[in-house]
Amino acid sequence: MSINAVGREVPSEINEVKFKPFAGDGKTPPEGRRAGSLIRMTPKGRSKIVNSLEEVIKKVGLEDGMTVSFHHHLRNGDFVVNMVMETIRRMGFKDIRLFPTALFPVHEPLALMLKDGTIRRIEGSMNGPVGEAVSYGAMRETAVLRSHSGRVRAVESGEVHIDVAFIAAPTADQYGNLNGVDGPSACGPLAYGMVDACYADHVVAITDHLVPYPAYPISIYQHNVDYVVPIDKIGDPKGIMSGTLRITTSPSRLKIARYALEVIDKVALKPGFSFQAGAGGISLAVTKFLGDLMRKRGIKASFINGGVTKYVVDMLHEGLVDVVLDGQAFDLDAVKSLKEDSNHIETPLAMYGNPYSSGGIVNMLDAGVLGATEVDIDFNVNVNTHSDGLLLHGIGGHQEVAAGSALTIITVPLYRYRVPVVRERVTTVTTPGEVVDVVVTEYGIAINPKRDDIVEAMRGSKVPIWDIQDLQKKAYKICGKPQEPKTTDDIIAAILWRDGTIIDVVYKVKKN
Amino acid sequence: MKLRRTRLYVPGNNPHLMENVGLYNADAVILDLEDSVPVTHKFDARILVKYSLQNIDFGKSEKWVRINGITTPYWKKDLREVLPYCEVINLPKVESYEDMEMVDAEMSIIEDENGLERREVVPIIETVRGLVNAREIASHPRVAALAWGGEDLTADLGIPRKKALILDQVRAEIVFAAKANKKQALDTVYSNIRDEQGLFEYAQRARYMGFDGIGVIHPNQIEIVHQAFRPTDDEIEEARKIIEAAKEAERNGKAVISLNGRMIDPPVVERARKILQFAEVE
Repeated sequence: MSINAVGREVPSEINEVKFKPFAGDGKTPPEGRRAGSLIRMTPKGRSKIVNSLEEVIKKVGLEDGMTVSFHHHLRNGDFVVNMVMETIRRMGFKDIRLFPTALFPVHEPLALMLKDGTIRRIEGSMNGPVGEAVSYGAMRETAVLRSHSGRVRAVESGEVHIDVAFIAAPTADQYGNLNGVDGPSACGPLAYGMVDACYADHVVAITDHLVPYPAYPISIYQHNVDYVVPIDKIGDPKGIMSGTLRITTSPSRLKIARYALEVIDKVALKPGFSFQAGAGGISLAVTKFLGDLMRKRGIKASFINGGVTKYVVDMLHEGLVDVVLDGQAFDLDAVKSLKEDSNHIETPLAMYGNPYSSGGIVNMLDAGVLGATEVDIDFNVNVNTHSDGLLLHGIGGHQEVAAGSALTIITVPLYRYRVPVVRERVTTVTTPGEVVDVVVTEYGIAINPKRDDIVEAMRGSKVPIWDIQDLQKKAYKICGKPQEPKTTDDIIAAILWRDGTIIDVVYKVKKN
Repeated sequence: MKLRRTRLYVPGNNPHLMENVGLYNADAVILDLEDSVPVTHKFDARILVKYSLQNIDFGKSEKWVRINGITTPYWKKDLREVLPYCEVINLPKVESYEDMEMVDAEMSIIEDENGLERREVVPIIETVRGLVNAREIASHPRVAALAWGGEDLTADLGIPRKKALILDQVRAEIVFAAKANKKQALDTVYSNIRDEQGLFEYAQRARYMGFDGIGVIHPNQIEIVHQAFRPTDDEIEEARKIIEAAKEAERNGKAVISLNGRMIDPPVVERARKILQFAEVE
């Protein structure tokens, strides 16, 4: 064990694989060469269509202990992960390493496969019940959580080798050209699946919308796809569009959004600026208010990086922004726009914020507004665990937006359900304070002291400006000092910084 | 005179809605013990309001409590528990000067016993009898402002609220009664919390009818009402000139104030002061 750059004690090995401790953003240079996948050949005239999951699993030669991957564009409406894993379980495979980009509450059945030995460990974001089960020690090995781009880095570097990538495809042709903008389960981009398609030894597309060759547009190309499995339904559209898609009506959350807007206005808003959009009530409110302000001032943005919603699409159509870069669609307006608008561009996750690349989109962002479960007086941010220690959320793109954006704003209520959100020490560090600039609460904002320029820019603003320690004291005064989570010494998950170093670990939670 | 453009009603039995009231910059916050609290919760709400008044940060907002009316068995107990910790008592269904006298007497006892400064009362006119007696009621020295309530009043008149044709006359009478006694006049609430434009127009209309503020039932209404009560740039400019002319006249020992060859009467100067007060807080 060693102490890393954010003061957390972290192991040097996870699941018998060596990892370095987090040393600071950009402080651990890359090593080696990019990894590769198995070179394989589809002979001319051989059909790629396979009519059952069982048959395709046999064809790709799945073995005990192998790594299988999935993308999460179908979100909480996804049928594919459960369907494939249930087939794998039924066929008697054991010790599978599950490597999804994220899991949702719909994937709760996987918790049982942790118990019966089908799944050895999960390396990926776990939102909800699976994370909770893992928190109580349901998994034999240690989970490894990576950010979206950190996952890309892990695949490209060979840190994780994917044996079989199962790619849910809202549209496919019989020769493996895939897109997400058409079909009954349309989800928009297939950005998360692109790296898997390039680096997995075997790639299986699963679709409920087989179209004549060639499908168009093409997000994932035929030369990377080995098999196509048509099934009845890959997802439930209601669950696919399952982000928080309404602007918050909570007056305190709206106040947070207005304060965040004021910071963007004073620090970043200028003709040609860019920002990161997302789903979630506060984030949507910021996007809408920002659009209103840009309209009033006659300011046009150069690009919005999404998480794309109707609010972003409306701004594109109104001419308030030149280009939308899209890694994830949250509603049908976003899907339709991706299909129809030439200045709405699907971007591979490798382009998003992988630090070990020739530069990501996040490096070009002027402003990013992010949420958190907790923030501490060193500006460290937790998005993974709750104050009771349960691992209930993935990292998403939090780390890369925070690290890349010129202005990183964290919007949080001062407390939730009488539990302080602004605290002396976060339960888990997901994103280090060194890449966080401003914390915005309904009571006012705290500016990271290293950002003198922001302090200066906010001079004269009506937004209350606090020392972060005073904000934390205010939270404790209202709610009392929070109790520490009741945990054991067993590590159930490692949280990796986007460069693959360990920024923190999550401990097993004691059951009451 | 205190700004009372917005007074935010908060149910007195819901701590979740109370905890952040200081954040929204309402001119006044009313913790309500009357209509929003069911009979079975009257006791609990009274205690909750008492402790909320002592422990919650109200920010810049004036602390009001709407107690139960004097025809109920609750009002004296309400007063006894909350009066030490609030600034204004909002008194529903006041019908006469005598009603005010009765409440005044009870308040005086509690104030004397607790060594409190004198609290103000904002009576709510909600009956035809109250309306007829509004001028007398407003003349009571405890009264800081006069408010009115549409639902009970229209019920008393026997007409449906949405079809009532008499409400502008009611409003006018409330304004006359208050202003004749140099008190503030406060309009009732706009109940559609989603209709921002409707709220803005309603509040602006209230302002131009002579009201000093309206009631709000959701924090998201506050900023819109403040915008509606914000004087226009032209009004501010004109008011500045008038105040400057008044100062100039005072410096020169002149009894008559003139601006651009026009005589300015004292009420006009007073109005200009009020406009600048409204403008400066923003």
